[in-house]
Amino acid sequence: MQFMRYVIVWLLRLASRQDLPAKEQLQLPLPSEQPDVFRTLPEYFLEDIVDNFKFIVGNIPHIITPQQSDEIVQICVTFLRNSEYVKNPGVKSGLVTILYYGVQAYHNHARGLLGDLLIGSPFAHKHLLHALMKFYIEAESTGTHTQFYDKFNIRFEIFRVIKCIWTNTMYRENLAKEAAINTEFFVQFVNMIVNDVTFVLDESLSSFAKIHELTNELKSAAFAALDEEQKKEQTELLESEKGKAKSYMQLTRESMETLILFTETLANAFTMPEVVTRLAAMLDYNLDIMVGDKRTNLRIENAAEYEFDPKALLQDIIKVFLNLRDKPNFISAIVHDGRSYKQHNFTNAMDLMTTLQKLTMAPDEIAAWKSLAQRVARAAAELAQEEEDLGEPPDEFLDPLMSELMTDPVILPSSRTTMDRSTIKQHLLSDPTDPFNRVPLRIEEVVADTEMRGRLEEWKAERLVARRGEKEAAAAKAAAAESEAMDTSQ
Amino acid sequence: MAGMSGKRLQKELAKIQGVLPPGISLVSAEDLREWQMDLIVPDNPIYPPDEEYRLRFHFSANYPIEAPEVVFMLLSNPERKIPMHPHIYSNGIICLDLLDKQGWSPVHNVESVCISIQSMLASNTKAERPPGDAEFVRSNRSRPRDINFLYHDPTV
Repeated sequence: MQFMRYVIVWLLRLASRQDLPAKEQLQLPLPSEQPDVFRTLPEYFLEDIVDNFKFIVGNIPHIITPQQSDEIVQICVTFLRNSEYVKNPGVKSGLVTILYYGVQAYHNHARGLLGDLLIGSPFAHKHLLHALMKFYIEAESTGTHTQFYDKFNIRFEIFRVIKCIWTNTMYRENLAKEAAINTEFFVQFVNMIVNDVTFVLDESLSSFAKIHELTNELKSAAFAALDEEQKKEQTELLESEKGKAKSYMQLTRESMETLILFTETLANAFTMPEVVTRLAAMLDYNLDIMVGDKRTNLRIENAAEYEFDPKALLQDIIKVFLNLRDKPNFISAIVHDGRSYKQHNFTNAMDLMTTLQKLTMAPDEIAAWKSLAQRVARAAAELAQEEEDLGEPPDEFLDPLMSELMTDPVILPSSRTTMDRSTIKQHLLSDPTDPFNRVPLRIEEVVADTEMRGRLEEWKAERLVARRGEKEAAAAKAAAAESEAMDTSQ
Repeated sequence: MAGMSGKRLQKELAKIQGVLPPGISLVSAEDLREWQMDLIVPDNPIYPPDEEYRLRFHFSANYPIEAPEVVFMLLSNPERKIPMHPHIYSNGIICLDLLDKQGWSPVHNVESVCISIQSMLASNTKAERPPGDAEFVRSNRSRPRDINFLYHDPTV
């Protein structure tokens, strides 16, 4: 153990070029150019530390002293924050695992070995959340052959650590700060959470369908007729599908619960334009899966085996909706979602809460949901009215890729096409080229098409005035017809 | 974020319900998530002129920025087989750069994808499956978009 401590401090010294631990406080982030000495070090130095402490923290945490805990936190946070210093993905994810084990309760430590430290230490306050968010994003592709499961495990563990430290409101402020200062980073983080939840719920359901199919197959006569090798293969396939379904479900629940925590106190950050649309679409979609027309697909045998608790999941989804209900941006995003928004899903959920008594919600939550459903219905009606008023816009005002009326038209310098800024921005995130001719393009190069914008605004204003005129004329006509009818009925 | 209204797909659907190139027909489009198309391959002895192939299109919330997931479907009623092609696995997964992250562009659409696949079949000369087909079908767990195909045979 003593030796491990020396190695930890020595590694941190090499990486940071600081005189630790006595003379200086460790400064993060580490220098962007790795000190040669550290870079050329064989990775087993760090790997050994990680493996050792993973075991110790996971199995015999009581032998670790507070001083050692401090060092463990330092090394984990440092190399998650500067994960480029570490080459082996297994070592990196091991750092998260150590923290995860460190917040598991044991004996009389309700918050685990490291919980109090992570909640209380200034070093953690400064760097932990950013490090966790960064690694969450990196987990998207670990590059290992078990990449698929790795992503889930890592993200699951990160959420558990966040859940533990969230009791310290300082971390909520940290997250708000990330949203305000490192907006792109924050947006990437939120988008990945949202993508995961959209994707995993869907995949779980198709996993369940496959499990059902395979279970039946294994019971059939055709299966009994297969040879040992084939039987083994099918059985393994079934086990693997079951494992997948369970992983999916665990991550879905954990993600939703984290979203509840986040949206409780950071409704503003989560309804900013860059994230609100995707978040609302995910919630609409999941609500549709849970209470919409196709919800009989959720009938699973042995749901508990896969930790699938539809009632709890639906309650989680509803809670996130409720946390954001006061934000007009959010209501607007819900109704603008052409794929999954359906007003009757809000009513269906309401029924489950009240008449059908299938969900247990507090009276004020039910009232809040009712109010939300009404506001959404109103917004949907207004949107429909607006679209009807505008009518079919001239083709030139429509975004060429999205077919939507543009609000901020820009010209692409190379192909000279005009499209909405939001569209090209989104496209460039996944493909840094002009979609019409594949010439490399950066967002800074597009030019605002102020001329088109002017004409567009004019057209809109004209249409709305014309429409109002039409309505007034129609109303006048109706009134005249009525009074005429009254006259003749004398 | 653009594209959430579904207008793009609605517009495509309107066009498809009107006119389509020969040999391509719309089977179903109940929502903005999954559509099915039928496809016939003209003038190629490998594919009988009356044999129809079923394509399933699946659109994510990010379409058209993100490519649709397109696979051939094996059905018994009506009967639909998976066409023989060195880039089409027997489970219906298609190896086509257009459907891949690198090759996709939002300028493409359902119709152009159907035309490309039809053309890929029409110009095919080898009635075979990709190498390692059996193994792939048996062991593949990934969604088509997560598979990194190596496009090393441009002659097909």
